[in-house]
Amino acid sequence: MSTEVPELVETAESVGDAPRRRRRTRNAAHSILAHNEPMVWLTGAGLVICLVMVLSLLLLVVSKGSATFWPSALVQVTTVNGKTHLGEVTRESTFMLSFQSLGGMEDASREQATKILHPLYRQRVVDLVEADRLQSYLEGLLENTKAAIRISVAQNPTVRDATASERHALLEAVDSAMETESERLTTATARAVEATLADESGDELQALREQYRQTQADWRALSDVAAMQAEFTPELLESIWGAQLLSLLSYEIQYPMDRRLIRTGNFELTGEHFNWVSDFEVVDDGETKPDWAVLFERLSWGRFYGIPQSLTADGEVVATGPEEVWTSFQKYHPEARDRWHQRRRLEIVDIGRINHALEAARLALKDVELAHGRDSSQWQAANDKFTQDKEVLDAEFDQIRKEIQRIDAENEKFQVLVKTSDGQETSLQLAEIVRAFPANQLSTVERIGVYFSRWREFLLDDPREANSEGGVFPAIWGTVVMTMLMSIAVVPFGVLAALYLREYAKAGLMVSTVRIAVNNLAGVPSIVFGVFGLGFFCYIVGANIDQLLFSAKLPTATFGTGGLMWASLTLALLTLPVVIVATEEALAAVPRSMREGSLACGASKWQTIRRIVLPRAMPGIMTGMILAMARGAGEVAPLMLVGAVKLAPELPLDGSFPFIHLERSFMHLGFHIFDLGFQSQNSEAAQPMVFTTTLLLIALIALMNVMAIMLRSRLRKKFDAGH
Amino acid sequence: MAAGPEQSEIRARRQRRQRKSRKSVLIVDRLAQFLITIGGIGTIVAVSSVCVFLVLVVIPLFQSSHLTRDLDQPLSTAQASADRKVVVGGVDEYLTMAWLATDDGLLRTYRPESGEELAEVRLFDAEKELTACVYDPREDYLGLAFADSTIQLGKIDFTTRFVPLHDIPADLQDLPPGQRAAFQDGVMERTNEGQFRLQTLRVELDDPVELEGGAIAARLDVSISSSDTVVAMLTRDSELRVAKVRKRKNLLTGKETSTLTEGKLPVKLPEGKLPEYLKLAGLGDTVFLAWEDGWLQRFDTRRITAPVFAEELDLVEEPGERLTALEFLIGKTTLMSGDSLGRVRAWFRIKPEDAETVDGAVLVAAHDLPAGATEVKQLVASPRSRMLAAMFADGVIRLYHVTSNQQLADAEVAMGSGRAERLMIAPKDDAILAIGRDQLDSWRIDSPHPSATWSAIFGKVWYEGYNEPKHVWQSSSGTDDFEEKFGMMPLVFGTLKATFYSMLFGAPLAVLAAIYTSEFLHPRVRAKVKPTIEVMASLPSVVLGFLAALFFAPIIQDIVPESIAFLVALPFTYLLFAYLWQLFPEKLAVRMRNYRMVGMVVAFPAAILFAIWWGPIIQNWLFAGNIMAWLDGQIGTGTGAWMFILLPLSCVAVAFLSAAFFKPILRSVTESMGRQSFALLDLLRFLLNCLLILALAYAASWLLNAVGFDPRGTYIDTYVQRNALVVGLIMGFAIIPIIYTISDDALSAVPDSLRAASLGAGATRWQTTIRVIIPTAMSGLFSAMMIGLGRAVGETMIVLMAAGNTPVMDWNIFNGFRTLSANIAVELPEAVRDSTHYRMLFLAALALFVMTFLVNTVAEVIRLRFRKRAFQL
Repeated sequence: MSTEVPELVETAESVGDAPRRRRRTRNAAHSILAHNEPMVWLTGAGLVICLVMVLSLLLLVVSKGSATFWPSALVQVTTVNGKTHLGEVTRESTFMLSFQSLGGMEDASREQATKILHPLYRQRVVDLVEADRLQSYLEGLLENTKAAIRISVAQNPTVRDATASERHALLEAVDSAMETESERLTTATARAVEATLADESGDELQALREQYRQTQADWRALSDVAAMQAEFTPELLESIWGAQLLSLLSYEIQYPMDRRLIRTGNFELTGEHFNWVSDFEVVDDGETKPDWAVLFERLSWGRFYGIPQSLTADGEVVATGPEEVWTSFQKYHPEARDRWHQRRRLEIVDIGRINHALEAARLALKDVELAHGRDSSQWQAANDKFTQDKEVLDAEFDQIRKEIQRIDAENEKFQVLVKTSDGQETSLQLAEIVRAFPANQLSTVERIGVYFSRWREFLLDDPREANSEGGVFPAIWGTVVMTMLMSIAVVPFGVLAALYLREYAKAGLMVSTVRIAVNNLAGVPSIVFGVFGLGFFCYIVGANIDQLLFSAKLPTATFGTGGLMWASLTLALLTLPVVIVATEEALAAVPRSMREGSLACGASKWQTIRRIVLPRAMPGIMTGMILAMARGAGEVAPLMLVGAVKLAPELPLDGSFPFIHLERSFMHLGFHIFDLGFQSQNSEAAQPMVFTTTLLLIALIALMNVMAIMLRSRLRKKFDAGH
Repeated sequence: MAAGPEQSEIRARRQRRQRKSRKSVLIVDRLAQFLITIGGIGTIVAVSSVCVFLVLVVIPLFQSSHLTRDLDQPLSTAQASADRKVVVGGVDEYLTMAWLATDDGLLRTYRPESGEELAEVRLFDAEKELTACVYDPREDYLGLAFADSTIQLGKIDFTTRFVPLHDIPADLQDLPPGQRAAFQDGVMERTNEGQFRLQTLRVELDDPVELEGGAIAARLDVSISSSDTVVAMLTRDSELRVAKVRKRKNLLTGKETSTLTEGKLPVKLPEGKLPEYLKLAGLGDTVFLAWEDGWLQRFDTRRITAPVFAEELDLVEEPGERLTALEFLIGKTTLMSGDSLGRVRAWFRIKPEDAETVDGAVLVAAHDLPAGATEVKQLVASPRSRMLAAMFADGVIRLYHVTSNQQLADAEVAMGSGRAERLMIAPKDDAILAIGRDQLDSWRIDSPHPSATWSAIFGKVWYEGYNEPKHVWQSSSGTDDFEEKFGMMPLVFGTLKATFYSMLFGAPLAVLAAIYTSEFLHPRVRAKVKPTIEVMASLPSVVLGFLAALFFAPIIQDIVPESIAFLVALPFTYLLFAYLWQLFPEKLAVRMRNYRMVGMVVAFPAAILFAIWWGPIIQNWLFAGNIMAWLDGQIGTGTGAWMFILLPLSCVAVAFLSAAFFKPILRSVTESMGRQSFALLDLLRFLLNCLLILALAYAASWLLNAVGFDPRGTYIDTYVQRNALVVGLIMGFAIIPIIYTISDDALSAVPDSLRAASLGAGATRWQTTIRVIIPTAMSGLFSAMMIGLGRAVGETMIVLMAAGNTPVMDWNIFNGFRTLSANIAVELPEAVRDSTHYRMLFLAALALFVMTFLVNTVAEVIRLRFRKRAFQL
């Protein structure tokens, strides 16, 4: 018995003190205090927060991820700057419009913003004057203003580069000027305030600001500190002072303003994918939803938004006017896409095959060279053969290239002329268009169609536009293949180790130490395994394999760099403890009586394990495998070191011999998320895709879990039925 | 027929057969045992080899350096140079060829193995009197000054080319690999690949330049960058002259134009003596003049046309002692001084706030390397690293590494008649050569990782250009002469910071949730709640990292005041709801107990509403209306920051006061009060306490601020979007499931008999929980937190994505950091295999491994002991 028990008994005694208890039961206060509801609620708060976080996170990923592909309406807005934007609204936010934010605006917008802000500013000054607090307010600002002036002078690049003595002299001069000229400064202040009060529109104030700014800019542009000191006139000081005061007065004035991020596309014309449009910038009635605005998703340059003008098929204009164009677009587009697919097949499959053959021939020649030297007769023979092969392949290659050129020429004849919202016209090749639809015309059913067609593309196609568009099929494939390979590697070894620990090793301190150690390896950071994988698998094992088997390819590494095999093995090591622990528990759970029964019947130890223990433990082993797979599929950190890449040109498992290419680097969903979110040039466009990929990854992990759980329950049923 | 015995025999045989296993079964059994044992042990060994491998990679970092005398090559110097003074010399990167120039203008190349002279080049006429000479083996440039008031610049370097077989004379064609032979003024070596590599010396001299006014340059230094050549000289009439030649190549015409800018400044010579050394810094922005007694003057030449005096100081303070060597380290910024006491010191410019020199910099002695016994004869800097070799008067040669402030190795020159005069470090940093009149000694440098010492990794190091010794991690940069900074402390600090904030957030939540789940939740609800939280564990950390960095970080940045308000509002709302709950009549309360959860769920949005309401109020009240500017330190006072810190303390204080003094009074006063009215009183007490907490915290904050303490600038400072708060939040989220699961298991493992006994004795559920269950499960809870800690230490993707990744040591919760794990993920793919950097990253991995392994083991041992105890109960 533990030593704690007397204490517990004591506690119970103190609670159960007879005379007091009677009093307590009568006393409501004591009962309430004893239940200590507030503390219970605090512990409950912990649980609620955890639950809210999990559920809201899942909800966030699901909602954001599944909304990405929904075709939204196209809006066209005209701003006061005379620009017109056509596109999809991707985000809305509220920001604080203030005088500070005017700097980056164009003139018309600034004017518009000033119209909003100026009354607020003026009101503020009027309030101050009416409350007779202006004088005290300005005095309060005095020190700040002085400090600000001093800082702004000291931070001027010319001043900063000057020698210490020059800098010192200049700042002395500034200080003394501020002291001696205080009267002039007060006048300046008064004038600024007067201007503010007198001026309803804000124009005059703007002019004053502008004048201040100009005077300062002229002075700042001086290249010599001595000249700056000489030019530090009272007028200049007044400008700086006035500008400082005006900005300090306006510092806290802000106005909440909505703005929208519009995906405007047409990158080759505008140089931008997105544009922020604030509500105040939009001219009256400047917002429409054009009926025939069409969204084109293209292979390159991102999306295009515009109104179709005419369609050229086979070199002749067959349709004009949006509606007609749209009808014929639907007619010609599938053919064009077919041609494109055909071209792509030629490019990827046929040219790929030729390149492989060429590379193989080159390697064969190199092998001979390494074995016999360049001067040998064998090399001559091999070289002749290589030249012959090359000629054949080159001829084949030429033929394919001609075919591609033919298709290109054909595609060239199918174009659609589109007019953008700001009146520019551009021709788009039909073959280059992945999908197009007049978003504002679609019925709900059609929208659902577009939605699912986008999902289909996402799941089954290759990525394009630096991964920010298109599909993630290679990443899905890479994740699945890698996880499968990992399970193939991890399960047998994990089970072997667990069998040894549980069935064969003599129980003792040694085994329990090993058990704790193995258990703890599950908690070792995954990146450490990545480091090991890179240092050991890639740089040592892989480099040696290259030396032995692929010396012809050197210095290009085959196995000596990250690849599918090393990634799977690294993750296998990482998840091995999980499998060992789970299997051990499963083995331990097999009742002793069953083993003994089997042994008593005369079965050998191995027979007992094979026929009795392992089948019973199978569901548990499966659990271990599930856990390992779920962990392995979600790990990214080690993969960054041992083989996951941004874009893999070839799949790790495909139709060309030997079907599984262990040395190839591969794409991975988790790494894809990291890469899209952090290394994408067009991160705004990539972000929705990241959510979708995230949703997919979570779904994939969930699917694996569910599949394995089903498998486990089936096995359990099967073996339970047997007994 | 005797059937009987036969039958019995058969029976006996059958019995025997039945008793005996078949041989194949036995063999299979043995085989299985063998295979499983081998496989099992092999697997376990393979897993543990991770640690062994890391150690193996790390060990070479700390192996000591050696200088090994090269005995295989009997080296000698060219005999002809014996009678003249050697001014400069060099050796090629394969140590196949050396050259020496003497003051009569002759440059001789020879083979060090044999002393055989290869070629002779005349640099200048023998009649010309050489007044100064400078050669930089790194940039290969030569500067010469003559008594006829001219100077001459040039380049001396080695060229390597591979000679085709047919150009090689027959007697050399079958040279065995690794052997060398003289060939066409150079040395040819047959490489191991069978190629013929020819090394030749190339000398290119510009035309002499006449100095203006017939001045004679007594001291000279040259500095070359990609576009500029800066020359500094001191004339015999004590005038410092600086000239910059800028060469520009027209990209269209390919024509080169050069512009020359010059400046002069008369120098006051102490006692009319010319300085011994003139050194021009790498960017041509500073000139150092040093006299034999250690006096040094520094001139600011950033403006070439108007050099100005900057400062002067004494490099050798002791009277009577002399400065015997002065040399630049690689990069020409750090000056190495050697003196007659045998000291070797490193000096560089720093820029302290209060510097009074014209360029705002002062020269300081940053490193004091282990001193020699006798005076320093010569210092020589390595052309590719921060190593430095020093030769002392007693013939000892020491090899130093300046950044890590250590002596790497030493050796001794044989002190013969032709004693060593010049010391050189070979271009590849792999050998030291000491050249004497008729003898050449060479040592192989065996120092793969000179910059790695424990004190350099974990201690403060004074890096070039830094104002003071600091912990810095900066492993790479654009330039070659960059000083690698391998201070691992910022990374360790970042790791601890991430762990601290995530534990601060995750651990209490997880443990509280576990307590509620196991003690107060209805079993049916519990069966649903527990797996839901465990779902979190299967969320990949890359997903959490992405959400943290790209979704939550921008949002939190916009709602900082609301977030802070939420921290206060959340406990307040829950407590308020609890006190309101107490107002229910007893019968109703008992019946409703299982629906308490609903109230708790409702309280959450209420807390959010409170936070939204209070956020702007708090911002206006404490943070001067704009929290970002306030955090920057631009506006407002420190009161708000103190409130931030003192509020929890004040909570504890008031809770303690209330429990110690107020509750007993309350109890005795309310002896006969009804339940409802007491509950109302209790609610009142709670609200009063809240006011008291606020008042107390505000008073203390105001006082501290009035005294002049402002915590801003330490752990509350400028807001950065990706910061510790965001990481703490999300990483806390990542470690919650594991802490929660283990805590819940630990609490559930407490035997029901204890619960029953306590409840039966009249204790309430809360009393049972706090007095019986938690003390019993304490070690289990502790081990849960330890395991959570282990997870937080090694988490990579979240910190990689959301922590900003700047290796700074800053407690500021609103600033980023870089952890060991993120650092590995960022830098390892670019690290060159087996370089110091590579091994350093392995050291980081090893540190992570050891840290987590230790933490987990402690947790596991505690957990096992707890489990045993719980079973005993």
